[in-house]
Amino acid sequence: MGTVKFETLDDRTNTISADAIIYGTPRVWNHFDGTVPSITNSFNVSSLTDINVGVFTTNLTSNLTVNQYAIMLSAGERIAGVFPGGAESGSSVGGQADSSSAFTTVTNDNDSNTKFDFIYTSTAVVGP
Amino acid sequence: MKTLDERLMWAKQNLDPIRSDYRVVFENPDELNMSIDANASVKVLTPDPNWMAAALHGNILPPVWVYWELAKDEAQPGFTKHTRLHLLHETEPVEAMTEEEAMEYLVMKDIPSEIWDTRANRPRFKICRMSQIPSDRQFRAAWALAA
Repeated sequence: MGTVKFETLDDRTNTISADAIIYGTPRVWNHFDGTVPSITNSFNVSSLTDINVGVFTTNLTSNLTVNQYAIMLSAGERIAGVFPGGAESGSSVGGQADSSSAFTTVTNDNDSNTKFDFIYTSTAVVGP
Repeated sequence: MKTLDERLMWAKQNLDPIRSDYRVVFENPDELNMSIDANASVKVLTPDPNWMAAALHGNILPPVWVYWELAKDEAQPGFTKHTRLHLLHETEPVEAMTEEEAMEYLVMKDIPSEIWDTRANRPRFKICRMSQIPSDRQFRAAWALAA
C-alpha cells in the first residue's frame, strides 16, 4: 500500500487542501434499526447503546482528536413515497457529542411529539 | 505498523461482519435513585458487527487500556484536544479474542467504569443473549435489571 503526500489538490479549475479533505471526510458513520435495535452497516463503530426509546449512543473505535464535532443524522421509515433512510416530514432529530469516542442521538416522531425508534436511522460525524 | 484507521479500513474491506447474539444490559443506580432523568432506564449495548469481526480476527484493535488513558486525558480540566492519539495507532494491537472475551473488552471500553469497576451489593451489568431481552419495546422505559 502506497502513500500519496500533497498539500493541495488542483484540477486546474478548483483547488482543495489536504486538510480540507482530511477534516471534511466523515470519520464515523452508522446506519441502524432503532426498533430492534441493530446496526445495519457502519464504519469506525464499536457498539450501539440503547439508552431509551429514540435515544441511542454510538461508541467509536478510533477517537476523534476533539470532543466537539458535527453530527449529521436522519431518521425515517419505509412508507409510500418516502425513500428508505431519508428524513421524512414526521421526524425530527438531534445529536450531542458526549466525548471524543461517543455521541448520543435522539429521534422524535413529530405527529405524537414523543421520542420514537425509527427503522432507518443514519448518523455520520465530521471533525478532526 | 498501520494506523488504527488503516487497520479498520482493511477489516471493513476484508472481513465479513459478525452479528453477535450477545448483549450487555447495564444500569446506573445513581441515575435510577435520583429519578429525575427521563433517560434513567436500563441500557442495552449491542456490539458492532464490523468491530466484532475485527476483535475475533486479532491484530487490529488496540488494548483496552489505551482508551482508558485517552479518557483520563479528556477528563482533565481545560481539555481541548488529544495529544496522545498515537497510543491508538502505535500500541501493539491485541491478538484474536473469543466472542466472550470481546464482550468483556467492550464492557470495559464502552460502559462507564463506575458500572463495572466497583463492588456493589448486586451486579450493575449482565452479559446476556439477545433472546433474553424483551422484543416488545412498548414498555421500554420501564425495563430494569433483574436481581
